[in-house]
Amino acid sequence: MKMRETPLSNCERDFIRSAIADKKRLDGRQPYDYRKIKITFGVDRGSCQVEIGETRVLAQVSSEITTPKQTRPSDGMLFINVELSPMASPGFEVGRRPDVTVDGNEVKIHPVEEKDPLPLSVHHMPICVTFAFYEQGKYLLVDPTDKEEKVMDGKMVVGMNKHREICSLQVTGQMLLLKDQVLRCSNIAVVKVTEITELIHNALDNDRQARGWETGMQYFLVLSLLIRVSPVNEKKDKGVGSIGEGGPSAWEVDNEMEQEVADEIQTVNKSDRSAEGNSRLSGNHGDDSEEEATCTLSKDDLHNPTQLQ
Amino acid sequence: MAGLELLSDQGFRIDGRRVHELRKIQCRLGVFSQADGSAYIEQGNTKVLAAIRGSKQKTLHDKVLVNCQYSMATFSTGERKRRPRGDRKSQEMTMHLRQTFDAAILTNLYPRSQIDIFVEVLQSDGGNYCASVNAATLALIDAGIPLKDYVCACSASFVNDSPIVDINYLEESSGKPEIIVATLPKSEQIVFLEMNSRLHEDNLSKVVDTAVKGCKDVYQILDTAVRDHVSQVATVHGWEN
Amino acid sequence: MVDHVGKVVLPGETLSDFKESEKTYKVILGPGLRQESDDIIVSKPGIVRFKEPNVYWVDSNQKRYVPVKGDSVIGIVTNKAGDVFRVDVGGSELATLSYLAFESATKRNRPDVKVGDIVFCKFVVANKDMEPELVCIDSNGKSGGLGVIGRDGGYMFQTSLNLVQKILNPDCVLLKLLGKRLSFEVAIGMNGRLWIKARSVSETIAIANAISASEYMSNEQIKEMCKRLLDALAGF
Repeated sequence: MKMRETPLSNCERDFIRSAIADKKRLDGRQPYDYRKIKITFGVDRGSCQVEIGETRVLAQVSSEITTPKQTRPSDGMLFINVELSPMASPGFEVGRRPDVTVDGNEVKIHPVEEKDPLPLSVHHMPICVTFAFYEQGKYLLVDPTDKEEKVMDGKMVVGMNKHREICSLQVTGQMLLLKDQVLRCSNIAVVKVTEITELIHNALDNDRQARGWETGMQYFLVLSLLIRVSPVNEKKDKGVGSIGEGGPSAWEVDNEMEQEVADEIQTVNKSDRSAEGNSRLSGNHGDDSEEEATCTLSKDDLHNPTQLQ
Repeated sequence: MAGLELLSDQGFRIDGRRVHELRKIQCRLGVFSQADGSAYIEQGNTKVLAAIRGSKQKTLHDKVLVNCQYSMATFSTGERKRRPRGDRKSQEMTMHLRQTFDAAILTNLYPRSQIDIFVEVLQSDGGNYCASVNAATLALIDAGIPLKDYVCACSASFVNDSPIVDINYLEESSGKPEIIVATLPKSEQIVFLEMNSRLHEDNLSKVVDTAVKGCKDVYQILDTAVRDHVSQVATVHGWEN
Repeated sequence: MVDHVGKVVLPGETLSDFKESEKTYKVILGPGLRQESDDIIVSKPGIVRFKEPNVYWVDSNQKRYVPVKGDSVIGIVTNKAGDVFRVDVGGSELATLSYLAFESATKRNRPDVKVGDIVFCKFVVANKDMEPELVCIDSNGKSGGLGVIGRDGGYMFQTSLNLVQKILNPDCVLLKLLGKRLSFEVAIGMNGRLWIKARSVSETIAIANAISASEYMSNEQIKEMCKRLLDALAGF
């Protein structure tokens, strides 16, 4: 059963509105300020936890070499799973559709080569910025908190990379906007995206140093999800039980087994040379809207909180 | 789709249209007698039916609850669809339609009641959302529900440095950016906006403009259809005297 | 038992040696303690408290509000149903508030309450088998500060149940300190909701944040924080 969410009183609504009209926010931020972002990497490779204010998201990536779909022999597959635990908010429940935008198309996976494992390479890092609108677009807030989201007329989510390319854009809610307002938001987004990209790069550099390990490219979901993939036989000749310099082992396999796994992967690769180098996954699959949810990373999968089967 | 040339050097698209040309739109209002309002629209090969039903239920205390149901006929696509509604795409579409019309209908006029909007895509050739919005607008007008303005939707894309309007299925699945806009054409206010794929920020303005212009063109056509329909009804009822 | 007072206890522990009332030879057990045949068993983790002459209870950190008869709470009106309002107080179910339970309300003269309003009210029925019931008048039919609040501004926010008890404690200096320099109105509900109205939006936000921040502070720390806050506000 879904738990009842505390309703928002008129008093809170009016107060938040008047505060916004006054250019003030409950947490002391300016209208265009972001909340504090904290990025922590897990001990395992490919996991990361991001905190934006009181919102926390954990992302975990794993990879596996499989046969591609018959219809698209040169494409890899990408699954994205968003889970909103009822622990996070009493309003979340399986089957509900909160507006969560996840962005992560255009991922290219290199097959594992001889001894040198290649990390997941990513074309670009899309970062999402959320804008909330009040009083028919008169007031604008960046990165609204949940209370501010309850009061807002509508919101706009812009996904953009640091090359100023918009990867996704969505306006939702019951409000009317003018084109100029949309463009203004996209301009603000440029600034915020640059800042956050910088922040993520710093976090990655720190992590790399902490691990003492050459890592590769990283790959992002919503500005809060950061995912990393490490190929299966990544540390084949580095010996078991050590990731970089101090990280505890996440690999409870013995050398032999690891070798086996690696060999297997090699075989798979050879038999599938044609697919090599370009196991590309594109987000645009036209009108494929069946409930199969296997490979198509179409936007509506991303919007869906329920598990892909 | 890589082999296909979406826009020829002469400025023609795959189906022979120019960049700023809409597909042919045909529509009819009042196609059903049981529903409170209904409409049928064809935009090129995309064909959509919409029906409206109002009911008095104890729902929201201060405004009308707008409820939508979007479904695609099993024969609407190239491959047979397994589920006409309830899959993720339909759910998302339903949500978007509800949001769009929540913003456009004067919801505070009918507290404690509900408006159901049923949309059925009979044939799909790109621009399902746009055709659904346009059909639902006509059906709402047919039902006599007060709106802020017509809601017109149109899509646009960006090929070879030039924006193209009202894209069809082939253009949609080419991997080029797709932007979908629903506007209130008179005030040029945007009710709904969505974009997929990569587009440089500098080009956003151009593409949005193209889509908004497309919405205005759609509006002209819808408006003519509504006026025709109303004058016909007026003649039948003898209101003119 | 006297030596248990002020100590941490865990559910399942058995307590003994209670101080009885001299006249009746009885002990009153409050929340967190329960009698099972001849034993007194702890049912909540927390600190044992004692009040003269014979009252014992356990102070525990609980997040969900459970309605208690006589508690003043802040509720949100969620619905009007017939002749009652349904009010969310943060408990497991909605409480009812009759429209006759307002000062000078009659069958003809209905109080002006809208859905979404916040009301400061008292429980008259709070029982595990019955729907909780609220009123906005005392036994004399007077409002005594109860009723709809927050119509003309102010901000309501949620804190923990413990914080509310803490700031209501006469030993707590927080509100006194804030009140010395700022003028504001406050309504404190035992369900953890606070409503504050100061002269300006920024003052209201500042006070709300000060209250939320004081949860784990000692009186000394609160003094320090208030000083900094008031200085910062003066320089606004």
